[in-house]
Amino acid sequence: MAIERLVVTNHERWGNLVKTWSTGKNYLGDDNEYPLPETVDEFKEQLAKAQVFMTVPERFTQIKFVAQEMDTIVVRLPPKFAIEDSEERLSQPGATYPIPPFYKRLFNGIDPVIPEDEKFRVHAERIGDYTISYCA
Amino acid sequence: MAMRKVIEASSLGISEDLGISKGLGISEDLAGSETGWISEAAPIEGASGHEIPPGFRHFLKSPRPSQRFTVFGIDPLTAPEHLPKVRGLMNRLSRRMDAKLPWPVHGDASIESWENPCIPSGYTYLLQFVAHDLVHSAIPLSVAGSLGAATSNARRTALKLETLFGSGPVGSPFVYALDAPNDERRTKLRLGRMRWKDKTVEAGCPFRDIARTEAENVTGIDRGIAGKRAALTEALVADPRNDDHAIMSQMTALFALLHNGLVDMVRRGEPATRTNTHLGAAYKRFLCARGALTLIYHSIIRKDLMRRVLHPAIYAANSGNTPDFIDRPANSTDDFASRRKHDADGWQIPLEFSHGAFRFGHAMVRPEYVINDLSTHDLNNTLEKTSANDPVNMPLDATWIVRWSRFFEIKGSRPNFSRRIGPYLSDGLGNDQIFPAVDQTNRVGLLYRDLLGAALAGLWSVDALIGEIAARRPHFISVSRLLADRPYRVSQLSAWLAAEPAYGGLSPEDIETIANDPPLPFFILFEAMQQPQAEGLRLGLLGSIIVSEVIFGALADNELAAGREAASLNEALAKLSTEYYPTNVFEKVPEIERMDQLVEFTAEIADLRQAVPAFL
Repeated sequence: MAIERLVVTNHERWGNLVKTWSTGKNYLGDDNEYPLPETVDEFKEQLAKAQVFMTVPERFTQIKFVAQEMDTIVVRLPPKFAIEDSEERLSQPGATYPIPPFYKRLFNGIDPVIPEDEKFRVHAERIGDYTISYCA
Repeated sequence: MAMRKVIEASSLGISEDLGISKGLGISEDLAGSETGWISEAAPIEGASGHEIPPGFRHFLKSPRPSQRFTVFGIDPLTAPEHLPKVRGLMNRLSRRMDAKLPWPVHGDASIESWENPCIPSGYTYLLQFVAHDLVHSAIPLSVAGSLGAATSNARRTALKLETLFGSGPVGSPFVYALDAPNDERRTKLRLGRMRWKDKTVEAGCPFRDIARTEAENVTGIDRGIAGKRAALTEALVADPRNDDHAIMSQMTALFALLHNGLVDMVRRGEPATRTNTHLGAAYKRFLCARGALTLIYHSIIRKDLMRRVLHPAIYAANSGNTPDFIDRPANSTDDFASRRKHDADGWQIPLEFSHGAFRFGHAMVRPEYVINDLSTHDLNNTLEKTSANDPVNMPLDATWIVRWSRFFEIKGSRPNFSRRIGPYLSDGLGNDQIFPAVDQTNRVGLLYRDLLGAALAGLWSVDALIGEIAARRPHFISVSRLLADRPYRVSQLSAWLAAEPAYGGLSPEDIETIANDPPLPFFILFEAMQQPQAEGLRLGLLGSIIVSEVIFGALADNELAAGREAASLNEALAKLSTEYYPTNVFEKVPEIERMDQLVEFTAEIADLRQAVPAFL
């Protein structure tokens, strides 16, 4: 059975919530307080306040924030089971690599086309990028 | 002075209202039940004095001001200056409903606790289709802010498939394909070619999407990509809401495929004369096929859809041959205003249905759907896939062409299951691009719109409505402690509202007013969740009564002559055929009472059993 993933509905609000946690400045434009959550429940509560509408699967019971320093390489290793799961999904006939919807807006609105013979290449490139990139 | 209120349409295509009434006990609600009366020259108003837009009425009769929904004792219809308080409370309540519900687990561990194995997801969208066939407002009430002409219900006949056929080949020609090069006649509904994934439409691509086209705008707006993609901004369907999202347009295409197959069937059964090519014969063929589809549609609503969503006791009371309705305003002698309005306007939908009870379908929407063997799409993508939102990626490609055994149980298939019905909506319905904020609360999403629309529509309060029903059918109410025992109801509502203080931040005053006078769409969801041994698996009693009375009432009022007193669909079809032809052109139609049977029959007559992409 495929593992359930976090699904974000309102990506801009999610980004603004992350910026708020990082800087301590409210980027949501509301009167709520957004201290760094310490539990998954607090995380969900803040998602609701910020109207992110993120679907958080029940399997998540803990949360960990990693503050990135300028002199430290942070490599976020994806779990083995998650890589295997996505590889299995991509191996299905007709399966495609999922791209967040906001990318489409940046490319003329056309649904991104990842050719069948490119999907594992894109998979590897995306994993590599996400494990070392600064997200700011 | 009468206050105007607004009505709202949602992603499920139904309007909203709000009414406010005091939290009175049942006996108090029943006291002083005199009705409003108006002179012949006066504008048509509800008995309570507020204006009701054309095409709407109240359930049972118009509530008196003391019987309407209120917030902190304030009636939004009479105190518009307090609307910010109303909006604030609906905002906080909608946020309380963001907390996930702790559903009991199913015996089958492969079914998620929030899933409802009794109602496959295809029925969610059949309900939406039915909603479109009952009510059509130009502007949502939550957006307009008050009831008025802009929020009137344009649907003037109910459940006649106007949502599919529009005004017919003459009145809505763009919905129909040409039968002849000289455009003398049109009998089949238009369909459009799908495309294969990552490709443009090619010759030979099957007609599995609704028809869509580009159009040059006098404003100079062009959403296409020069030299690459044309923007198919126009869906050629009778009701634009039937392209609200990808599954809805696929449901519309399913009914169009069935109609077109029935046209072929009628044609094969026609007497062999040359006159069959004439306009009159073509129109007769169209009417006969449309009548057949309508009979099948009614059969499914009556025997399948309603059976699944209603409480069994209410279904049993209204689904038989001689239902004893309580919501018959045209025959009522104690509500002159409603009766007069009904006579003048024809079909009118109760606000308590359109802006209250029938909103329950929103809670059935899943966070993602297995569309076919190749693709699973999340709700955000699904909602975006329309000609209006995503014209350069139209028509639908193969990843969006529904395999119907994923939406209905067909020969043992495992379909997507709908969500259990309760006060919680899937996250995708909070999408701020599709459901942006409509007022100063900055609250995004469909749920707030549902609650606000209900609060603005002058609906019966839950207490008063229960009291009115109890006076007419005490045995319906007495079997539900939640309905019959007001202190128990208030305590249950209070406990639930207070259980998640981090969601919505409801104050004790908020909880008190909502528990004593809950907005109707919220209460319908709460009631469904609270049912013993059937938590969220179907509507509760109050929700069932409102939905059942309106749907079965509309069926009774709009039944085709051929369907009256027919013992079976086959008998009705045979009678229909004799209205047009000397023989039964529908002899080969099987008895169809369920959606899985409709899909299988469509596959048969549209030659789709071995279709690629798979249809069944």
